[in-house]
Amino acid sequence: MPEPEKTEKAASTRPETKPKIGVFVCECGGNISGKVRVQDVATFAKTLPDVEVAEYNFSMCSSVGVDLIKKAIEEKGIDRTVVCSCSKAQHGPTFARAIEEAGLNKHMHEQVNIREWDSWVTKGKNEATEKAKKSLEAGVNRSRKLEPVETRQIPVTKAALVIGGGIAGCRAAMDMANLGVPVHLVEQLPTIGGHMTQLFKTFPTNECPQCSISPLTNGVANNKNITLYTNANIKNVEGSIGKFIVDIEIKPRYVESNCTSCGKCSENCPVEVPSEWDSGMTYRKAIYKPFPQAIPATYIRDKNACIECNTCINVCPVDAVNFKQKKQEVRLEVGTIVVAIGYDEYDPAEIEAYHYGDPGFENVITQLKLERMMTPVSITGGEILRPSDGNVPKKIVMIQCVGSRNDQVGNKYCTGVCCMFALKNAQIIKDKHPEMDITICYIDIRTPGLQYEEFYKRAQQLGVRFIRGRPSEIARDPATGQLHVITEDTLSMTPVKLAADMVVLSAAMVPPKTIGTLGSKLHVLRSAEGFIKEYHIKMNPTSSSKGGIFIAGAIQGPKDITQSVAQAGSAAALAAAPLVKGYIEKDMLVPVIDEALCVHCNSCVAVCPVSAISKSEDGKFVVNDVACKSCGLCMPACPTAAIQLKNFRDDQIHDEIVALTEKPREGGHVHG
Amino acid sequence: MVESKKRGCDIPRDRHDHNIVVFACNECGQGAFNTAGVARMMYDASVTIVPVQCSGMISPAMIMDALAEGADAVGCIGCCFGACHFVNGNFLNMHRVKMMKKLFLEMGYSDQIINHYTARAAEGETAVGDVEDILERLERAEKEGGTFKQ
Repeated sequence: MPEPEKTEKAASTRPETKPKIGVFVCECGGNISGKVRVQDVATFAKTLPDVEVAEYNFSMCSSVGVDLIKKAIEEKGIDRTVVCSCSKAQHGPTFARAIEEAGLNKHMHEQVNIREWDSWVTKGKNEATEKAKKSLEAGVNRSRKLEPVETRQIPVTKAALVIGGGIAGCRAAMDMANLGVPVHLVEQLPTIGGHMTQLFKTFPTNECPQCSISPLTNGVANNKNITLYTNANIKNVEGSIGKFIVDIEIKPRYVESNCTSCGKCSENCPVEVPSEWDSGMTYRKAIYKPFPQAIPATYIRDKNACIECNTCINVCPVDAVNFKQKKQEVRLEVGTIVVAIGYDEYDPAEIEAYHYGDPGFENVITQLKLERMMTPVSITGGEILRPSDGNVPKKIVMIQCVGSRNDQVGNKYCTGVCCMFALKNAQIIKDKHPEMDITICYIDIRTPGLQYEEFYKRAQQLGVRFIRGRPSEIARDPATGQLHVITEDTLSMTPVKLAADMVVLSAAMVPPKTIGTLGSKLHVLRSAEGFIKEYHIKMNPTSSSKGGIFIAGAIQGPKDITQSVAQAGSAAALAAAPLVKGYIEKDMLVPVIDEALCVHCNSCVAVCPVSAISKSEDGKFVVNDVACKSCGLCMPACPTAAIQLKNFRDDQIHDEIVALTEKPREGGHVHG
Repeated sequence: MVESKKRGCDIPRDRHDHNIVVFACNECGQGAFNTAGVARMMYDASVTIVPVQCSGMISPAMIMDALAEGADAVGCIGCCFGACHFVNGNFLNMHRVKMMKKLFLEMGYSDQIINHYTARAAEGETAVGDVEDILERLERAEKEGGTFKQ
């Protein structure tokens, strides 16, 4: 792959020849000329130094206006333009394109907004005209020091990395593979599929999630564009968009890939430990397959639980079991990364009043455990039984918002899906056992979206009781062992003490434990709650703070399966776009460092939000042009003003301020 | 400085004689002013906007520059906390402004002449509210006789 060119020479290319500025004032069909005396402004512009052309037009963005600019460039030889019209966002690109077509660099255009920032918001004509003149002068001052900025095509490595093999990760990997992008899918657990495989049914249609996800997981395993690494961890990530070097460590499975998944080893294994995949509701052997449909189907040996009796080695018909397997390290080179590491279920043991996990409170379980209990392959055979004594519970109480919307545990956010999965589980129980008494203690029932409110209504019709109030405590009668949920019905303002045979806690979704180390390796910023922070909460919820790293699914914030799949598709499209195109196009609007002034204090490195500045081997600080986002945060951090963002230099902004403030003082440079 | 001093307190004047420099970030700051324009929300003509990339790039030097050149008050408008397009520039600016306020107080000036604000690109009234707040604070500071220009 050709290397991107090295940074152009650090010394800035400031204008040595006298700049020739062309000023064009727009009437905007009366929008501007209604308040601003456009002719006066154009006449004023002619009096400013270096202004060669000053004209006004009915509508600068029309082909007539654009031709006016092009003609001035060709005939008068102007080398930079100032257009006083609308906002930079609206027609800035129009004029930039026009001057580019006429042979100038598109960054030599300066847009002065006298419509949204002046004529539309100022009352009097005189004030508006004066303000327009001031703004124009500021724009002219600024444009005098504009410098061309190169647009560079940066070649990319055509491969993508997806971290996390849950529903979001699989979906993103599949979508990218379908676009012809080679994908590396890294999953920390021995199997892919994630939390979705653990569920019994999915709302609002009560479908079987295993049936929904298995075509996708099978497709991921068999797609020739996807390389699957299970039981693997990310060791190190370096580089930026276009070229990331990722080291992954694959932990040993102790079973070779020629395993036929016959299950003889597991049958004969004498060790039994609680199954993680089953949320501890069943037992698995020390050599095991997490669940029957697991992908990859290869068995795995739990080294910590194994007593090394060698039974599995002896019974294996294909000699796949190999206790001597070592961990492997693989180095990948990828262009973009999608992070889809999902969530963890909140551990309710933190809330002491609910006594989750305490002795005597075995009947307090989480929704995920209830899901595992209800599946036909569970230890109870799909029956709902109390964990303490195996009896059928008569009264079930579900407690909502356990670990979410709770200041005391530090999670202020609403997980958003607990209402729906509590309603779903309540309905499934009611359908099967109409005689069971189910109560849901909630703060607010949040069921926004198509078919969701109907789902809630159906639960009410089935006879599920709803009590509005967050329970303060789960109490246990020491004599009988009977549990009581103590709450208040806040609608009728009455204290309630509910007898419960089984209590189900709707635990929140929290960031996974592994995000701490992974986040720091990826150099992405995280929100206060610990989830990965999106680039912009409305306009760009799929990009992370670092270019080339995209986020999908519940790692951005709590999400249900629908939303995770939708975001995964978006992340796949964004991550695949530069890879399919083969290059990324970027304006090199980057800071330049004056070596003579730099005191090597590291301030710019510390403040850079995308880690684009680093110290090279010879002790100089270099800006990674590709990673830089042109925010300029490094500028005020520099004690000697050695680092300056192109076209936003201190002296340039000073010149602008001079024009905007009424009376310029003599000299007046603070620095620059 | 001499000229500014003359303008500052000797001549009685109305609001329009003020000179407010607002640094607005490329995303929500300028976006909110654009939205305010589209909605025709009137504000004082003394407010002029300096576009910057991010509120985090507004250096103390720029603010001092503006005040030294004759601005009566300076506002820095960035995105809402948590919505900065460059991650944490608005926090940097907020802390920087807090520190500068202390500096101005120590120097015997009012700390109301410089303020940090946030705006939302979708809501023009946030930006207009910010500039109105700048003017209000400035007028109060002038009544108390503690502006930068004394």
